[in-house]
Amino acid sequence: MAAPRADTLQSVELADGVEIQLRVAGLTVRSMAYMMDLLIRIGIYIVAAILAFWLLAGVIGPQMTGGLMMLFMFFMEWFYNVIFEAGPRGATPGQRSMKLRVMSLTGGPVTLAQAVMRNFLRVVDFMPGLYLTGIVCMLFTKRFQRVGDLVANTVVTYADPPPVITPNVEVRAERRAPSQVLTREEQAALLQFIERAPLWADERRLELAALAQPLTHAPGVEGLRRLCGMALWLQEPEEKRAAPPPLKGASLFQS
Amino acid sequence: MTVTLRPRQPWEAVDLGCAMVRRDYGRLFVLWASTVFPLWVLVCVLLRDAPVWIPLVVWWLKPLYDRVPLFFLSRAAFGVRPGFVETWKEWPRLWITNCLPALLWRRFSFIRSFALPAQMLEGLSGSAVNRRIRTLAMDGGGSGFSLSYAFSKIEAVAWIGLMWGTYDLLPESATPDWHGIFNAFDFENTIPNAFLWWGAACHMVIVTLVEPFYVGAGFGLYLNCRTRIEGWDVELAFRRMATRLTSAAAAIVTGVLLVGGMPSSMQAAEGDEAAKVVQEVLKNPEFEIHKVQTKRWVPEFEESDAPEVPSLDFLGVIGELLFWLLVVGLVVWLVIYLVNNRHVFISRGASKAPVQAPKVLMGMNITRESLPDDIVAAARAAWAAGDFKEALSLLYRGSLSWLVTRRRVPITDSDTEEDCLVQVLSAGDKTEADYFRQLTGAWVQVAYASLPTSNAEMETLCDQWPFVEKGGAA
Repeated sequence: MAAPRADTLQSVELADGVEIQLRVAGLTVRSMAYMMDLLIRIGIYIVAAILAFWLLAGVIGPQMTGGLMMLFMFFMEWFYNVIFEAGPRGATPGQRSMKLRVMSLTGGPVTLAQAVMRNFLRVVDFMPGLYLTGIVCMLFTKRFQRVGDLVANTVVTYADPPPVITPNVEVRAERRAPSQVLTREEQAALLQFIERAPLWADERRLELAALAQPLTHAPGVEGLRRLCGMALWLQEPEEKRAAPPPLKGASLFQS
Repeated sequence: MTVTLRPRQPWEAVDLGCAMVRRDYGRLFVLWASTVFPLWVLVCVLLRDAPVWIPLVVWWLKPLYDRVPLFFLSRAAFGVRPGFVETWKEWPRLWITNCLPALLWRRFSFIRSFALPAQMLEGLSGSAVNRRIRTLAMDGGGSGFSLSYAFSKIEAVAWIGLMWGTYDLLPESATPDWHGIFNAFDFENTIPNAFLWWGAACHMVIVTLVEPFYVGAGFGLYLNCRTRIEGWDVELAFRRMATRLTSAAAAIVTGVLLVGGMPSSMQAAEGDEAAKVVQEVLKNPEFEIHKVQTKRWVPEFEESDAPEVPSLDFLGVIGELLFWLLVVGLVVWLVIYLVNNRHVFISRGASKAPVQAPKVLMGMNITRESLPDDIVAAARAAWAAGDFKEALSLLYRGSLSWLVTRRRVPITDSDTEEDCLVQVLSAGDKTEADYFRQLTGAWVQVAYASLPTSNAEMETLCDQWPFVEKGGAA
């Protein structure tokens, strides 16, 4: 068995033997998201301080106002992430701006307990200073997890499914079965070719088709045509049936 | 090919690069140490009088360091990890190629790590390199820029964090006089040299930690770029397919020749392979057998000559008391549980569980309360008054009521007369069943066909009324 391939998809085996694949997000994206959150929080503090000292200080005195500000900041620092991550979107505003979300390792949404755990352990991740522990931990764990993530069994993943490019191009090629039996990987390559070929230059398509000459047994444009034909066949081995399938329960009305 | 290529989002490509570096970080570190550390020693020796410049120089020379890790990664991506000696032989060439532009005008390029593979791996030179980088930057330039920004931020943060975390370990003589700095801005006399050396050392540690990942991330972006704009993954797959198909054509001939000896050897190979796979899987952390050993400190028992420690015997007494309370509680609970659920253990005949009998059948109320105390007498009276239907109805309802409540005949409230009869025949005893059959016949005739029964039949029905308590009045 060859060494496992490096990949950003991490498969997690669930208790009932199902394997799911998580698109875990690494240190760089997450650091950007953290920066965004930090800026958002600082902005909120500045606005809150201005409002508080402008409106409240005359009423309850500057000392009281300062105390309230400190309380507010305390709650923000500890619960800002918890509330957003345990919420319906599972992501803070900063994480949403980078299209990330926090998930449980089982692929489900984060529970409140997990959110609390992973964010209260930021203290540990911060440890020697400025998240050094968290940085090292994220760089060297398989699923890019901080200490808090490891304890709470959470991962940060990309929220959106990867966009699928489907260029609307009519391929004019005769559908034909491949001349040899292909492995799954090769079939996948052929399908990738037919899907992404419209994005490449003509010369590049011909180059790639020339590489597949042992399969097509034809050089140049003819080879490209045959290759596209085989890919089309893989997409849909049979012609589309003209007649629609019979309705459900149609057999009941036939004597 | 030990990397899964597919068109990815830029940030995901960066993560792929980081994953590649993490996989081989040990080897990369050895290579890094053997090529970069000597250079750093040299830098430190040259700048021993002005340690404040060391971090700047170390930062400036970064493009040189990146080349060996990149060489290693580019080979490792195709499944051939270059050995130590091999890399060392390549080392001078790697550092000399394109090194002047990299250290001078390209030093400030924001897409340094993204452009490096194009310079180093594609064997181009001169203006061709620039053109190539421009082509690639059309697709991935923005991501390369963001990558550099993110990593410079990470490096700075980690450097400050490391110095912050280790600041308290420094001796008094090595810590700067912050008061003097903030009051007089006199950096010369307030920051001791030891502190500067310490800062430079921390910087080197952080560069060693972060820079390989930066290189790997750039390489990941580069791979992704080529995958997207040139279909590189498809190209590699087609190449593999071509070799497989051409070699397969050749292999058919040899296969025909070796047909006798092949299967056994193949099976043996497969068995070996399977055993190897099993061994490898068993090495995974999931199959690790954990043993938890706890050591408990047991004090050596000494004759304590300190009697002021209060005796803790009463704790034992309390414990025993609690234990017995628990036992009593359990027993009481068990008894109550058994009593509450006794119908499970006791046979149905003597059961006192409430009867789930229907109250209304075929629109007639058959509860005992709705009927007169002496049903037969009431029926006779109604018969004498000429209300035949009422008379039979009384008998019929009375019999049903009795059968349902006393005999527990399983009649449900949706049953018809016929269903009731069937149930009674199968459940009731013989005399009751016979009587009920006769009564049902009479009742149905009166109720639905309005054919009154004869007086004689009514007499027999009243006389033979079986549904009374034994020894009770009719």
